[in-house]
Amino acid sequence: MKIKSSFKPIVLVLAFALCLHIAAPFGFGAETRTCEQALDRCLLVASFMANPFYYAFCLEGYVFCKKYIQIY
Amino acid sequence: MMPSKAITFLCFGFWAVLAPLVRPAASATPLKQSAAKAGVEEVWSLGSLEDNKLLMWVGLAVDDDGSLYVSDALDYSLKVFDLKGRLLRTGRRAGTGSEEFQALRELALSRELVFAIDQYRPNILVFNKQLQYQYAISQPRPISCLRTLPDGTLAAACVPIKKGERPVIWLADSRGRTLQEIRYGADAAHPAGDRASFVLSGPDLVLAYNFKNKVERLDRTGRVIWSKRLFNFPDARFKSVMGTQLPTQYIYKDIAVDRTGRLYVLGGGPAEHPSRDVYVLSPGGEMVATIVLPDSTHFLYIDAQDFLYSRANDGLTIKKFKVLFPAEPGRKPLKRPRP
Repeated sequence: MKIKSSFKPIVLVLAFALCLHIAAPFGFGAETRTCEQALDRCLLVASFMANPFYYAFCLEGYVFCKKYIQIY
Repeated sequence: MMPSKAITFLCFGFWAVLAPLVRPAASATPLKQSAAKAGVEEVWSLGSLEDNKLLMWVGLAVDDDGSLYVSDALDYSLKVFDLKGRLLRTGRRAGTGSEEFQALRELALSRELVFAIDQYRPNILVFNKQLQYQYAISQPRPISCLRTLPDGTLAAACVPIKKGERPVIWLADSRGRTLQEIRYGADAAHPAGDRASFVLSGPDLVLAYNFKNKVERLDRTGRVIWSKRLFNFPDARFKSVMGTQLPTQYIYKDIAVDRTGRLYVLGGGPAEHPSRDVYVLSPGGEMVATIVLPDSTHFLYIDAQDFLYSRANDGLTIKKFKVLFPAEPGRKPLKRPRP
């Protein structure tokens, strides 16, 4: 099914939340998820969208995760 | 049959020629640490495990009157605290509406306005000092770092979203009208590779690259004045995730500048104490001192009195420090800032 490629950040936000177990603070690095695993899921969702912004959002989430949570 | 001495000699010859060419594997070795050690003295803190003042603060800026403006990502709010840590105002707006927050990040202040970034929005949200929403400035590129100049000019490091684009420092007026774009870096292989934090230092910009071992001073035309590597460490490694090349660790996490022009660079993965080591550079880029913060942080901020702010308790606490530089022989010690 082709998903409309209009700019709908909420779609990605929801996808991100699902990917990240929103109960934990942003999910990144918490429980068993690492930044890489979270990003992997985000990109999987983004791959359905024909819009570079979705990728950009995933990457922003990843670099924020790396900066904020993972201290190494 | 070749005599054993000749074989030994040949092996030694190969080793002597090839050994200098083989680089040792990257390791988290700390580097040029010959600079003096500076200390920090905690003078104030805000938020703790026992209260709910802050849940996960990300950005911070201090106003001329000492008020502390904070973006709290997990509380979806902007907050203003006074010098005693009392919450003066809050603007909590969770949601997807035009005035609401989804993933608050950095903020910056001008004389009248508060500028805030939401990761999932292609714009900068603008509020007055009462935290009332005013308008949004369109900026479709993700912003990795947001600052304001003393005259109110907005400065943002914009990350490219397509291969082939170059990152820019975008200068705009308070309505978002472009004044100048300063291009820097040129990493065609990794669009995220030139991502940087920056400060405005006098007439110049100083960039601390997030995924490269490079701190660079540029003039307003983008010309490199100096470029330094603080670590004996290569750039961040990249790995492919679903075909996208991604850096695996931060080299430098943030940069701040004090009144004398000294630059404070927060070390990432390669630092001896990751996310805690701060390298203090002179305006010319020479290492002046190193500081080890007591807690890991993602962020550095220096206010108008040269107090240093950083994170503790994983974002529940803001700590304010006085930086104590060792006295230099024959030099009058710097005046101590008042809390």
